[in-house]
Amino acid sequence: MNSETGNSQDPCFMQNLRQIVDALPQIAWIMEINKSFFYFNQHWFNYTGYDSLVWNPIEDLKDTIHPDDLQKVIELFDSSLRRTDTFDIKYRLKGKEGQYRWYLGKFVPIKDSSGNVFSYFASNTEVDDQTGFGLTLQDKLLKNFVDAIPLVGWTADNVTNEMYYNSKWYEQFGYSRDEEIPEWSTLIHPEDLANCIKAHTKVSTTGELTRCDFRWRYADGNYRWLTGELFGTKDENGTVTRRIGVVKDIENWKHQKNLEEAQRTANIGSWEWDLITSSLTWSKQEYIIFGLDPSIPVSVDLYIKHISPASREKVLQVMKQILTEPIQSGVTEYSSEVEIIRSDGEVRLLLEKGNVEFDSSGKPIRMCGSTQDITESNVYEQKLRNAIEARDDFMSIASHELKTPLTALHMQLQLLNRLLSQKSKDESQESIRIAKLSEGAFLSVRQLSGLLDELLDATRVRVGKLSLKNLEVNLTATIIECVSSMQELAKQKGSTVTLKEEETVLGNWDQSRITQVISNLLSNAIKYGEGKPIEISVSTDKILGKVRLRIKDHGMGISNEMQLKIFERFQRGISGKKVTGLGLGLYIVRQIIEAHGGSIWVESELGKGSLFIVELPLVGVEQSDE
Amino acid sequence: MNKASYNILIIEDNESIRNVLKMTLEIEGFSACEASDGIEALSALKRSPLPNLIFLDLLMPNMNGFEFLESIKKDLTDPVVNIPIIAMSAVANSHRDNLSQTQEVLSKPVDLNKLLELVYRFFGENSAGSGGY
Repeated sequence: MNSETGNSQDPCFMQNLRQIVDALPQIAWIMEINKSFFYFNQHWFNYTGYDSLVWNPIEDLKDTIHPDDLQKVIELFDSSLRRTDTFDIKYRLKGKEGQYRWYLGKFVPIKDSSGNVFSYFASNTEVDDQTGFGLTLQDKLLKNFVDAIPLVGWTADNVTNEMYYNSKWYEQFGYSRDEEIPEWSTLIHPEDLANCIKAHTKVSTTGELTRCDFRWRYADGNYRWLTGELFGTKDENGTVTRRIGVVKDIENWKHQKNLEEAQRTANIGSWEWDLITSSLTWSKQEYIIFGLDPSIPVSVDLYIKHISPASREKVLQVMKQILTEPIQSGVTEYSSEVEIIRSDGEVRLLLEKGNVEFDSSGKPIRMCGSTQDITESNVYEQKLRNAIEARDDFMSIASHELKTPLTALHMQLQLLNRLLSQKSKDESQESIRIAKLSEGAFLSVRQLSGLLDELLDATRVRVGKLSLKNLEVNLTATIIECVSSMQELAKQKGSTVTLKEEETVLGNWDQSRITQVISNLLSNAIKYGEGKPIEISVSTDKILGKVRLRIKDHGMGISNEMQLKIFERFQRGISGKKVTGLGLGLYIVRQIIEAHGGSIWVESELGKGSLFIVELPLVGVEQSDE
Repeated sequence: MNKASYNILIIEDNESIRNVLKMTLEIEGFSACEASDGIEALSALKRSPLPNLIFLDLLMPNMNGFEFLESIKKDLTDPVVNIPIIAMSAVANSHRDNLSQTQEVLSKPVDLNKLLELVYRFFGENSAGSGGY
């Protein structure tokens, strides 16, 4: 349209002009300069999203033109006004969703009969920003399509690779229409780029629908997994002209997949029970554990139906307790073994763990937890238990079998030694040697017997196997007896042993075992006490019904680390060549005390000595009131 | 004290141990006879003269020490009942409570000094003449 001549006063002319503007298949408007009156066609409103009733044309127009292009438009407009000639401008117009598109605007001044410009007519053709050529109808349709779909979408020119993103895309990835979007290939995780380029190349040549998963860097700098699907549109020659794609964030789904994979590998299912709606949800693996199809809806009834009669009562009890009195009972977490019968009839053993969530009023609202199929591990555990049992049985039998010949040997050597030492008159070199050897052999065998006794005792005192013959025991008298029998050893080491407060304490215990405990602790105190004084004291707490025996030395002491270990099997407080034994002494002591319902612990500091404290219950015996 | 007139019965299934005990007692001057289980011991007790002291192993095949003790207690008029018995056991502590107060228990391996000490104590208290050990 070239410069037109008309009459501004002629309403008929303006009417005709408006009809032309309305009929154009593109954005167009008329601007009456004197009256500052604008007339926009429907395409304008469609594209910009302005309301045709409420608008401020000059401001809206300024706002619609890209800020970088606005100055140029104003300059061209001014010079056109002076020269009264037509001008063209390639500029960007903003759409209703904030996106800019390139347009070729043609501004035609309309003059009155005296040659004064009184109006402008503007028409706008969408163009490719690179080539400046007008877009094909197909291009426009595709861009409109991409804008219209409710997904994150894009379309690219297959020749220029110019990308066009829809508003969902901007929204999803946190960019604004105004900013420069980085080249897409720089936003893809380097490890996934090759795959993406492969997919694009394939679509570029074949147009086939292709799918590709990749990590994408969001505007916040974090990568998330996306899945993309893309295809190509072709011209009449079969050449791909544009690529169109949609992408979806699958980060959460990927996590879900990973979780499912983890559950599958570990054979652990998870579940969630909404106590408000009573709805139960199971993870895929939970279904598999129960031998059920994951597509069927699960309910609490269905769950209970699968529990074996043997376990059902227990499960119902736990549920009842948790749901009706969780706070009072203090049970907010539980762990129990549940036997189920799967629909295929197979019996499985499950370990169920769960916990309850409460609202602010303390009402339980949700339960969730995990289920582990422990059928196999239970079998292994049983096998392991059997193996340990077999080992202990073997140890017991072996030490018993060794005991008899060793006892005989011990006594034979003892007698031999006795005979040889009595032949004291014979001072020949040979006799002295034989006597020495005999004595040495006897000592070795005695040591061996001691070790074997310790081993035998340890096999006997294994938890639950220790049978006690409880009778009234005078603890104080027992201590005095033990002290006197250890007097010789204490003298050798230079220690003195004192018993404070000789109050008589009676208890219902196994006399020989209690003697064993005291002897063991006392001999340890002497052995490790470095010749310093050893103190024993006994105190009773009648309210708690307990007696406390304390044996204190001032010797080498025990490191913190070792203090817990010394009560285990085959542990020794110090590793020295001087100290012999299997390291079973304190283990046996602990077993004996625990079998009596008591406890033992140690307080010690390296270099300062150790205090062993034994606590035994005072049951069934009247104490004297002294 | 005429040690040779004191007769000691050793009831013990292990031959080596039995020999050591017998030798120890004989070297000390006592007379000793042997039985390898409770049944042999019962028949030995039918012969005279009766032993003055019995060493009894508790764990034996055929008839063990406890069964032997039960068996000789059946007839309280039998003078056998009055013979002092020293029990011997590898697990002495756990058996002490099953035995009556008058009987002593020696743990195995038996300390020969302790054994002789006991022998002299019994003969010193229950028989004519002092041990002089």
